[in-house]
Amino acid sequence: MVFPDGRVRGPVWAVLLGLSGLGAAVTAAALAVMPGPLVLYPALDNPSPAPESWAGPLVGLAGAR
Amino acid sequence: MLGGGPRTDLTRPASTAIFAAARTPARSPPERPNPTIAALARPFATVLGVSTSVMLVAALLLWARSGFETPPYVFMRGPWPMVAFFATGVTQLASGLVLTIRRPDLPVGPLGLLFAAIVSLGALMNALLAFAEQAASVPLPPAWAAWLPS
Repeated sequence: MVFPDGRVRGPVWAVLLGLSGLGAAVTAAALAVMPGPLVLYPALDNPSPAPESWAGPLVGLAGAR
Repeated sequence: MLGGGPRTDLTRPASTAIFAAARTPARSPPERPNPTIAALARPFATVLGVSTSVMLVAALLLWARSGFETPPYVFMRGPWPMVAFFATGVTQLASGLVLTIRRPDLPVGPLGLLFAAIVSLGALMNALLAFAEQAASVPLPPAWAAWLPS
C-alpha cells in the first residue's frame, strides 16, 4: 500500500491500512489467549489461556475458531 | 500531427526508448530523507541485523543438534519447510539491510528487517521445539516456545 514512494495513495487507502493493522492486532490477541490447543501447534496447549467469558468474544471477532 | 508532441519512432526497439528514459533526469528531484529517520536507520539496521543473525545461527545449530528433526508445526512434513524458513530469513535480512542503509528515507527497508526478525524468531522457536523432542530439558518450556511464533 505504500509502494513505491513510502506513502499511501489517498485517505481511502490510509483507512484500509489502519483497518488491516487493527485486524492483525485483534487476530494476534485472540490467538494469544484462545484456550485449548495452539492453532499452529495442535499437539501443545496454550500456556496462557484467558477466561472463556472474554476470550470467547475476542476469538469470535477475529474469526480464529 | 495530433497532439503536437514529438513523433515516436516505431522502428526503434523498445530497449532504446527505455535506455533513453533512464538517461533523462526526473521531473522532480528525489526527496531528501527526514534527518531524524535517516539518523535512526543505521542503528536500527545494526540492532535488527545483529539480533536476526544471532537468532538464525542459533536456530541452525539447535536444529542440527536435533538431527534435523521436523518440528511439530501443523504444516511441516520433512526438513524442507525449515530450510524455507532459513532461506526467507537470510534473503529478507540481506535485502532489508541493503534498503535500510542505501535508502533510509523509505519505510520498506525497516519493514523488511522486521519481517526477517519475525521469521528468524519463528525458525529459532521451531528449532527449539525440534530439539526439545530429543533433549531431556530445554531452557524454555515447549508450550511457550510454540506460543511465541503463534
